[in-house]
Parts: sequence; C-alpha cells; structure tokens
Amino acid sequence: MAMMTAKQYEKSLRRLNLQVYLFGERLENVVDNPVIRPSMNAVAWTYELAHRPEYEDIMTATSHITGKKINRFTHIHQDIKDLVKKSKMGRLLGRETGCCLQRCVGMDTLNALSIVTFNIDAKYGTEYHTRFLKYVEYVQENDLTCDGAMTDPKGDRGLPPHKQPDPDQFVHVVEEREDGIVVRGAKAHQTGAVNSHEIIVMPTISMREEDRDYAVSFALPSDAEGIVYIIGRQSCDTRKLEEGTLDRGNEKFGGHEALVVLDNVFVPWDRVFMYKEYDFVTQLVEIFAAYHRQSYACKVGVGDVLIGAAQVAAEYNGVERASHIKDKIVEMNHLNETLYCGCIACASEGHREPSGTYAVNTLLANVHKHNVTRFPFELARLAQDIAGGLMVTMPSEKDFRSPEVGKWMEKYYKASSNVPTENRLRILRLIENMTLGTAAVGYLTESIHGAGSPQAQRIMISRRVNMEEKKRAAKRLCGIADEPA
Amino acid sequence: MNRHRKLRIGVKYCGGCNPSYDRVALVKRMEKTLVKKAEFISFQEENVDLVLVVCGCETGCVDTRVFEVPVHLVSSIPDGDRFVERLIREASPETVRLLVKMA
Repeated sequence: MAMMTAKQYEKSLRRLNLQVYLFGERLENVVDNPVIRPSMNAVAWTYELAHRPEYEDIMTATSHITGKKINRFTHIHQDIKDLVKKSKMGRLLGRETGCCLQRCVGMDTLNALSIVTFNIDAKYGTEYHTRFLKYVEYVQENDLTCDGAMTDPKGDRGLPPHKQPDPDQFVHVVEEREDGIVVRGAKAHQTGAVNSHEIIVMPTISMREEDRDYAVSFALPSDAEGIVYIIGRQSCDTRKLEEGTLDRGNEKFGGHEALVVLDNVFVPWDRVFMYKEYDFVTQLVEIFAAYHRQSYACKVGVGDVLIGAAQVAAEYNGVERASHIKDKIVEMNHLNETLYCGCIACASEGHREPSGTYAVNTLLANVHKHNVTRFPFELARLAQDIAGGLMVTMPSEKDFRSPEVGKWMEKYYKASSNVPTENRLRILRLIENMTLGTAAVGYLTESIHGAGSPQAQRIMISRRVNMEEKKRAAKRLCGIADEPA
Repeated sequence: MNRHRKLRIGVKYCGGCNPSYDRVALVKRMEKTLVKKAEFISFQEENVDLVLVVCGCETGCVDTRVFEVPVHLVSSIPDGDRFVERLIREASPETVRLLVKMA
C-alpha cells in the first residue's frame, strides 16, 4: 500500500493504542472524541485529496527510493519543483480546511534528517543515512503521518541542557543497551501528535560536548510503551461538545497540540538517527527550521478562507460597495499574497545538498515566516472590523433554535433581505473561530511561535543576509574608495 | 483508424493550489457537450489521443513534456469553451494534431 485513503487512515489510527489524556481522563476512543475529531479530519484530508485527480499533481510525488507514487507528505524533495509544490500544497490544504493541517512537520523532519544523517556519516563514517532511508521507505510504503518533535520544555532558558536542575527538561539518553537506547523527557506543543503513526524526535537547541547525552534523534511508533499525550486546551474547545455545529464556526476541521511525555521509552538502534554527535545539532535545527518556516505557506490558504469570509460577511451586511470595505479587502489580499510570495521565493531559490535532497533558501524561508508572525494578526483585525461586533455578541445556536427566542434572533439579526439569517450567523462564527476560537490557535499564536518565535527568525536573517555586498554597493555609488581592511 | 470512433481525451489537472475557476465543473461541462464526439478519461489510461491539461491559472505549472501524445492546455473557462467549439466543428482522432497546432 503506497497511498492510504482517508478511510484507511482513520482505520489505521483506530489500531493504535495511544495513552491520551484530555480534561484529566484517559481517552478510550481517541478518533471519535468530539474535541479531537476535527483535527483528525484535517489530517485525513491530506489523504483524501491525494486520491483526487484535480489535486494529485500537488498532493503526490514519485519516491526517489522506490519509484512509486507516494503522498507528498512522505517525499524527500528531489528538485526545485518539489519545493515549490510543497508551498502550493500548504496553501491548498490551508484553504480547504481553514486550519492547521498538522502533517507538514513530519515531512520537514524527514527532509532535514535526510540531509543531516548524510553529513554525519561523511564526517564520522557512521551509517545513519542508510538506516534513515530504510525508515523513509517504511514511512512511504505505509503512507504514515509523522510528528516531528523538536520543542523541549527547556526549563530554565538561561541554562544549557546539562546544567538544568531537572535533567528531563530536554530529551536525553538515560541508558544505552546492546539493542538500543532508553530516553526520557518531553516534547511540548506537538501539533497533530495523536493523529500520528510515528513520533520523530530531534534536539531543539545548539549543544556543546557536555550536552552530548541530549544530542539524539530517533523515531518511535506513536503508541510505543512509555509515551503519554496530554491534549492542550483551545479557546472555545467545549463548543465541540455542544449540540449543533453553528457555534463551532468550522463545522468539520480543526487542529490540536499536545504535551508528549517520553517516560523511559526504549528505542531500537535501527530507529536512531543521531547519537551524541552534538556538533550536528545546530545544523539539524537550522535545516529543519528553514523547511518548517516554509511550511507556513498553509497560512496563506487559511488567509484565503478568512478573506473570503470577510467578503461574504460584507455582502450579507449589505456594505460590500462601501469604499472603505473594498479597501480593507484589498489590504487583506495584499498581505496574504505577500505571504505567498515568501513561501514561493524560498522554494524557487532552493538548492541541492550533498545528500541529493533539495533545501529551501534559509534567508527567504526566515523572512517568510517572520512575515507570518505579523500579517495574520492584521488580516484578523481587518476581518473583525468588516464583520462587525455581532461576531462576538450573538447568542448561541441553542437560542437560535429555541421556539421561544429564536424568532427574535431571526428577526433582529436579519440584514440583507435575500440572505437567510442563519447564513449570516454562520459566516460570523467562522470569522470568530479563526480569529478568537479554536482555529486562532493555529492561525494566530502558532503563527508567532510555531517553527520558532520571531526572534529566532531575526537571528537567522542577521546571519544569512549578504551585508558585505550591500556595503560595497553603497560605498561604490557615493565614491568611497577602497578602505584598508 | 476508425474516423467515427470517439476521441479519447486524457484529462490531467494541475494541482489546484489557487484555481481561478472550478476546473472539475468545466471538464464535466465539456464532457456533456462533447458526449457524441469524445470521451474524457484519465491521462494515465491507454490509447489516449490527446491530453487535455486543465490548469487553474495562467501559470500552467504542469510539466507537459512527459506526455507522448498531443497536449492541449486550458487555463480558463473561455479557453475550455474555445476548445469545445473547435472539437464540435472538426474533431476526429486524425485532426487532433492539427487542432493542437492551431491552439
């Protein structure tokens, strides 16, 4: 089976024996839990669209290992076109789901490790790359969803891993055996973790020799013994437990994050891809981060939905011809397409690494993600401006359906005469969902901190920008002669 | 070659990252209009006379070099309508090459 259908994916999740906790209780049935289910639907969509002829050109690729047709989320980028299609896939899925699609992080991890395992082998004569390619083939053949787990809890941010009072603040090796290693620690903010078949762990910050026990990368089946998932809360999450779908805003799709605890988990050697090579941690973090910053292309697709919702709200309110509304919609499009420029540019300016994998342009990927830390907030502000205050003051769906007061909502929330009141309420709830509710986790706060907080991008921009060339150009144009070095 | 047999049109869509029209609806409409002259199948099927590349925008990002039969690209609804009009006028498997040349 090289490509699963959405139904096969759902079925495969039911076979997992995950330890998932939500609201203080262990879940017996993760897949059907109403709080989690929308996020499963979003990942399932990455399987569904791969089987539709009208999307397969973006959603599928040809494996460089087996030559088979595979889901692009399991692909190792083989040329610039692959990188560009990855950005386009993000926009497509963001637009089709209106939320975080969760599966990009695994793809970014696979690609980063395909580069770094090769480079470690070149320096140390190890065999990580061959081992890793076997693992990639397994992922591709079974069309697995992987959680790329990088962010450790980090404890005291002023201290390196080996100086933390609690050594488990960073994932580390606690035992080395003949058949593998035992690891302990946790990974925070893991998007889509309980919708994943595999958890691929990477270190999170640059390390020195004293941190070598923390310089590990490995893959685990998501239901390996000792892994515990604690689902994160989202604003308005319990609306998914209520009757009806209107107040959810997005009827079908959503996202989730979890704290993933690794409580003395055994990892066999054939799943270890970095073991104490602390001098390659920075490289792995930077390459992964660049790929993952490109992945914020999905926010362009989510932005498409928000712009569409704002336009529909304006039309329902009967104000779409007002010049200031038109101007705000233009501004939203300008911001959103600027984001698109960044994710296409970093892909188009990509390059081939010694392993054969194509990597994005690091500077442009960081610029793109830095824009993503800002523009969605302005897009959200403009959408709320256009939507009007009713978005946050309207009563519940239960009131709307009530035989006693529903008629008053029907009467007083009517705007444009040819639009049913319910449609108006629905579009406003969608804007609320994306800018204040469950989807705002992905569209707003995740846009700031996901794939690294803004300062991380500024550091990379300062490192990667070609300042000498800028200075040379400026000096030449104003007649400054060569200066002594 | 049987001049009266239907033209076998292999449909290849772009990935649909940001289409400016409903590509699937356009193909369905073309299929309905040309029901007597052509059959619309997947580009991957055998004995395709012509590959119809349906792109959602003018970028036309599909790599058409991989096809061994004539290729016609449409990237808008008017494009599709023009293609249909031509086929209604003069379609037969033999005229496909000429048709593509004219496009």
